[in-house]
Parts: sequence; C-alpha cells; structure tokens
Amino acid sequence: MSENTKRVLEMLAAGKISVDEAAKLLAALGNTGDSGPATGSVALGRKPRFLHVVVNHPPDKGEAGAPEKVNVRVPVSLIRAGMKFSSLIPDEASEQVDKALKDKGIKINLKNLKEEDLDELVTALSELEVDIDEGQGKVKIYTEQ
Amino acid sequence: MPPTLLHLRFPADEGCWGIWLPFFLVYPLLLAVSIVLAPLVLLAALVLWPSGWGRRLLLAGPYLWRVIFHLRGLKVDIQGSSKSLLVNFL
Repeated sequence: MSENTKRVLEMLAAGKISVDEAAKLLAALGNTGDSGPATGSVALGRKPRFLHVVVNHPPDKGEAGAPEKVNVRVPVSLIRAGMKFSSLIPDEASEQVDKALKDKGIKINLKNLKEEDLDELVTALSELEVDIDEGQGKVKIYTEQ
Repeated sequence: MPPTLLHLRFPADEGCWGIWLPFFLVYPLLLAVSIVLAPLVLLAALVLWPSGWGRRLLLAGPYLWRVIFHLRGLKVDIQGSSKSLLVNFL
C-alpha cells in the first residue's frame, strides 16, 4: 500500500473525510499511477481478476464444533469463458431456464446475456462488497484485483 | 496462462488427505483425443448442420478448451467441523 493511500485511509478512519470522498481520492490516486499492490476492493479503476464468495455458517444450537466455512474463488476470465457456452444452449432449454429463474424472481434472459453485462456487473462489484447476514449464516461477495 | 497443478484435499476416515496432481499432463492427452475425434466431429457437424446442432458441435470444442485454459485460480474450499474439501487449480 502506498503512502498516499495510507494517508487517505487514515483520514477516513479519523472521520476527516467521508467514504465517498475517500473513494474519489483513491480513484484519483489510481489514475495518476500511484499504485501500490492492490488488494480487495480498495484499489479502484482496475479490472478485478477474481470473484470471491465466502459463506460462514456457525454450528446449530446445541451442536459443538467449529463453524462451517465455504470459500469459493472464481477467476473472472473463467466466468467470461463459461458465458460463451450460453450460446450453445438449445432454445427450448434456454426458455426453461429463463422460466425457472423468473419463477424465483430473477429476470435474466440467458440468450441476451453479453460480456459487456458481465463487465458492468464485475466493475460494480469491485466498488462494493455484498454482505448478507441472515440469522445463522453469513455470505460475503467481493472481488480481488 | 493455463493451470499446471491441481491441489485436491478430500475427507478421509481420520482427518483428510491431500494430493497434488500435475494438471499439465492433461493437455497432451486432451490434444491427442481432440485430434483423433476431429474428423468424426466434423462429419457429425456436417450431418447435423441442417438441424442447427452442427454449429454447436463445432463450437463446443474451442469453448471447452477456453474454459480449461482459464481454470487457473479457481478454488473451492469447504471446511466443516470435522471434514474439509479443497479443489484448487494453480
């Protein structure tokens, strides 16, 4: 992490600047070539390489033992390569998948899914982390550069 | 850069056991299979072309290669209270 990045983060921690201001400053630092080793979703303006999905599930009540943990790291290039397969799906199967997804409240048309859509999604994910804390389990989705 | 090693960890009776596999050895095998099957696939694609499956059959091979070549970095790590499973392409 570079000195400037550290300074911005210190200012954010001290409450001198807001999260939005810190994000803008970090983005500006990234654009001017001030690049330390980028980790997590801190370094903006770079394309993420991996998508992480981490699921933590504590043991059920009355059960002893360590919590169950699932950690999946998927290269974004693999998702992109896999998306090509969607063009090979027969129309009937594609319609069935779309219908099943629609029944679950997900409105995605597999045939219309393009690489640009994925780029947009991954870029959006690189700027935020998704934390789902539902009762016993916890799901975290984030990208790595 | 395609993956060269595959690290697997499976649950066993006592704890778990792990193995490192030379994944790069898969490529010559796959290449040989692809070359052997290529004439058959081409023939099948020609026969199936009117039904629309010919194009899919032709594209499936390159798409599969593309997926295999982008497996590097894929990691699935499941850790339970007593058992764990790991699949890691390096």
